[in-house]
Amino acid sequence: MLEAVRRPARGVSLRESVRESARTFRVAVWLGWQIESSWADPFVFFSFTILRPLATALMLLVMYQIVAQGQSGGFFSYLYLSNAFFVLVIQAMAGVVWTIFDDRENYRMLKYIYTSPARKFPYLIGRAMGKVAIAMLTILVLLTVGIVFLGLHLNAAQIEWGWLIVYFLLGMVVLISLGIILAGVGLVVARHGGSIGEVVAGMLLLFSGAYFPPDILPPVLKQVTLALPITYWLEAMRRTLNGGIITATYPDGHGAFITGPVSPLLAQFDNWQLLLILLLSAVGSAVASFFFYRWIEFQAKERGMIDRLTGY
Amino acid sequence: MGKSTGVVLFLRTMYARAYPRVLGMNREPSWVFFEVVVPLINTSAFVFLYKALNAPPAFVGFVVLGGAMAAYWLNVLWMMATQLYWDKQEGNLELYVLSPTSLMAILLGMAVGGLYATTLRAATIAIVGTLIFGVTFNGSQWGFALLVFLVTMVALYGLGMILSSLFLMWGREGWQIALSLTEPVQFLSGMNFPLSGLFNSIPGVLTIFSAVIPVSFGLDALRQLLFPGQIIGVLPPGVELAILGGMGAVFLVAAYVMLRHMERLAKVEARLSLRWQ
Repeated sequence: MLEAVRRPARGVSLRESVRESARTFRVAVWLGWQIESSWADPFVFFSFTILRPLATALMLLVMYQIVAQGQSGGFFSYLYLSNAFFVLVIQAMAGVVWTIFDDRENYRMLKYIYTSPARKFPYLIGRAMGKVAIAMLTILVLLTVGIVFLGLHLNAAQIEWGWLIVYFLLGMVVLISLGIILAGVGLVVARHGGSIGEVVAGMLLLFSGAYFPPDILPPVLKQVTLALPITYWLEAMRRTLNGGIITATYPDGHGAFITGPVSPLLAQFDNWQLLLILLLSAVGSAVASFFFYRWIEFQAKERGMIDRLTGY
Repeated sequence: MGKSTGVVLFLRTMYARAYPRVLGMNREPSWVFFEVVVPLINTSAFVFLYKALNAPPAFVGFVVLGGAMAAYWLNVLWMMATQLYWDKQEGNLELYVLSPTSLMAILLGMAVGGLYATTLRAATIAIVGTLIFGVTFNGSQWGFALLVFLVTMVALYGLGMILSSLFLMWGREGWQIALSLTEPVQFLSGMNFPLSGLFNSIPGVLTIFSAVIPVSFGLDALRQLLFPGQIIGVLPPGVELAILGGMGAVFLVAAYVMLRHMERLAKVEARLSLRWQ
């Protein structure tokens, strides 16, 4: 640590820079996990962690069952899988942005982070990893509960594992990048913006087709939905886990039933098109988040906002 | 300024604690986005889910009303119950205890200040949601509905005071409890669906938990009064109002007792000024 403190701020080699970033990341991951989990024993911690997403899943189930009168079809799979993966959307974004508020207003150490040799981006991402790990665990539990108790149909042999891993990683880059952009916003807003990650995720509920196919939205909102990478990521997750596009059976209005995709709009995109969209989104959002954070960080420093307290 | 005691001190404390909350809102306008626009969008997601499921039109009204009531629950949870946690972190809590006033007055001041923003938020959700989604309320029993709403608020903020007493003792544990109460309460209070649908599909023990949350019967009664004939209530609105009134009285007394008890415990264990635990 002393060595790092003594070294000049400018003119460091690439190797040294990578090593310093890796060390910052490692320490931030450890710190983030301790903050998330050290308040209780593992069982209590796990119970509390799973309670929120499980309640949301049950709420959606009751909403669905009240209207669908006990039927369980393709729409339920669409809804349940979207909800399970949406946990990651919330946690990854909220995890990054909450770091700013937690460090600035609660632990009051943001100014010390800034005056230390710690690298900002590895630190922010590392701190979010605790929430990401919890989210992944939650997804596993939700899928298990769905299959065992709630009539969710998933077949391990049909899951497209290769696509799933690639899509998942690209989605993570997009989500973390969005989280960094929101963290930048967090630097210049008051404490009530602490839930900015969750509220933006709430907005994405409407605009990502998480709870319903975007086909039913008014034309303008439909275009907004199609402009967001999260829409394609959730479709990719549903599709790869289902082993193909999720279909449902509907009445055709003439007394007969037809089977078709739950979202004909998203069904137009094949796997390679989804890959291209997510790849471009990942690169674009990573670059945008880097420059946006640097810019807004400067604004925050100029206005003396790095260590301000805004509780009221 | 003269020395205040008794009721005057209580009321002045309430005013003093509500003041920065109301003024803070005006000085930091970004809350309009976080507190009004975003919840409205969130509520819309549930509306579109019902539209995708071809649910009866009244369900859209249920969601809009639920979205408005959710604003109050979130206010109680995050701007009242957990506020003592933040006050502890910022060093205000020990100053509250050192002062000659009561914590109850401080919490009521928080409630009044919080109600200012929350009512704006809830009204915006209700009005804009109604206009956008074409919800039709039946206003023939508006007086009864207003009474139900007010009694629900008393019970709800009483519950908030009980929860806030936990933060005198606990730090992150209390924070996690507050976190874990968000969605489960939305589920158990039927914020997005008729409460009777929930009571028919969950084990009996859980219905007791549901009934203890003031929003459950409050919302069920409001839906019965504002959407008559379109919902089967768990109990008649008059009975639910009586239960809510009883809960309000019990919660306020319990909050008073809990605050005194937890304050003493926190002093004994030296937790009032314990930060970053």
